[in-house]
Amino acid sequence: MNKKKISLFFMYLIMFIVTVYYLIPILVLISTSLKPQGQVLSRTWQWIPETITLDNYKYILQQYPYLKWTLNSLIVTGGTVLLTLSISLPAGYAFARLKMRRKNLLFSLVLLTIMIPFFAYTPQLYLLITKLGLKNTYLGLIVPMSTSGVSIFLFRQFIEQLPPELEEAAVLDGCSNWGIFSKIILPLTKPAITTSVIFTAVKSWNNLMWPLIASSDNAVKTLPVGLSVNVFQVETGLNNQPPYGIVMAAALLSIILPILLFIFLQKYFIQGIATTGLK
Amino acid sequence: MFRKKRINFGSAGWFLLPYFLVYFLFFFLPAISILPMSFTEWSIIGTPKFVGFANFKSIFSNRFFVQALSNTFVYTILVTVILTVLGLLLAILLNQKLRGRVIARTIIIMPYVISSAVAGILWKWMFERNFGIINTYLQQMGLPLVGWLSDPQIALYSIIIVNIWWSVGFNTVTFLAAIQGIPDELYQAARVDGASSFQCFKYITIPQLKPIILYITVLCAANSFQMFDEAYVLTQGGPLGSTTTLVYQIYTEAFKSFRIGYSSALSVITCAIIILITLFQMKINKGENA
Repeated sequence: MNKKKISLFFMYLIMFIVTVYYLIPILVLISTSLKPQGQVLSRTWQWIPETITLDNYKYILQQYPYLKWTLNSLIVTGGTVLLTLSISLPAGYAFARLKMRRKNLLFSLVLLTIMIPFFAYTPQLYLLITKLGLKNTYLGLIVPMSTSGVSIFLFRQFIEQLPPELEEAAVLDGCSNWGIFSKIILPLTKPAITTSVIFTAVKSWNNLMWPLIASSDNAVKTLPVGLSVNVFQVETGLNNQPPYGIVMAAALLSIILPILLFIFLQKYFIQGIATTGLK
Repeated sequence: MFRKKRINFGSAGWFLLPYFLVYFLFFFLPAISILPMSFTEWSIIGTPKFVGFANFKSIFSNRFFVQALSNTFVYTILVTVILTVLGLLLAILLNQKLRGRVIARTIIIMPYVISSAVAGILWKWMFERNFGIINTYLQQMGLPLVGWLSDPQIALYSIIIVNIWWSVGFNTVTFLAAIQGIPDELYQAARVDGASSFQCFKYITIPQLKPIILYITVLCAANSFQMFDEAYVLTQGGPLGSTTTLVYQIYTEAFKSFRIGYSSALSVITCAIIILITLFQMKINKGENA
């Protein structure tokens, strides 16, 4: 009994320490963003600012096209998710259920997108996008980010473990492959779709590298690029030392939406992974 | 029978076509073209000039390449091991019936939806030499200041700390889901037979989680091998190239020095390394299954 109590105590202790470790940076972020510049660079750390100010936020919203960047991020993320789903779902179904020649070879080609780092061919992709006139367009930011085979892999795994009886019955009723796919498979695949949407959306929303290269125009620039290039580097250049109050305010503004979505969608996020099983 | 097969084949083709169209143009074509380009010298302007193996020769005699290679491996291996083990341990912890575990879980996953650019900027501030929170507290405790991002011996490990904070939550959730998916009967049966918690963990939890552990390991390795954002925001590959990875070197060669041929040769070497590792991994898996 005593042993149990001790182990329980340690479990609470570890959980507490871990939670604090994860929480501290967020508190630093909030606290710094509310401090006037003079109090940011202080030799002692203050969790609650002496004077609380919203000047940093005002400055960011006035000096930078922050809302435009947010909108761009939303468009690029939404587009990437839609395109990824609409090309990966049918392919995942085909790999899981349909008979075809050279299936293994084709699937290896898909897995190549997971193996070969995006960076290996980024310069060539950039040249291609420029040639096609897609530089500084939404399409140029979306389409190259939809080739990842991760979703196909996920859908194939998920569809493979669905019981085949339903489909067999449908085949007897003379249902076509498309009918089976759209009427039987799609509704059953919802959990995997949820997982894929979250995977793809988070990845796309966070992507820094490709938008950094493929967009130089504020009209299509996404949040991570605006934040790390415009706000961070420009402000650092202007002040020699980055004005961390302003930078943290910008950072905080950029995470409000994903955090709200996350809290709202947490159930689906966790359920999606749970029901997918990924076995 | 024969006819049905043919119809199915045509049908499968239609299901695959949209993906492979995008795949061919935006993945395969650029990816395959790094091979011919690696034998040229080209600065985007003008026409590529064939130089044979010159790029490869100069890469292998360049000490920065060796450094980038070692940085990449140290980073990938450490991050993969720590993220997998820590993710699993946290999942086991959060699977216990502890009060507040739902809140703890939310807080642990939260950084994952924050972009790595934001995570990088945030930690750059926390790591700041004179006014950052970490060094401020170190100083108050009378400890020497640490050059988290300015000391070449430390900078790479600081980036590892950031990455762990940023991405362990995803692994935790994945493991947690998998643990909860293990049938309870297995544990009940084991307890009837008098198995201890540790035995349950070793003989039920771990074997049941094997596929998901493999999946997480592969995913972590692939992601950390391609780490760029954190290095870009936190250190720009410095100090003294101590946080320059292969990926970062490809980026600087192509987009800062405009040496497309040289960067292509780097890409070819990177891909060759990955393919070798994958083949090796497949061999191990096959050996285990046999």
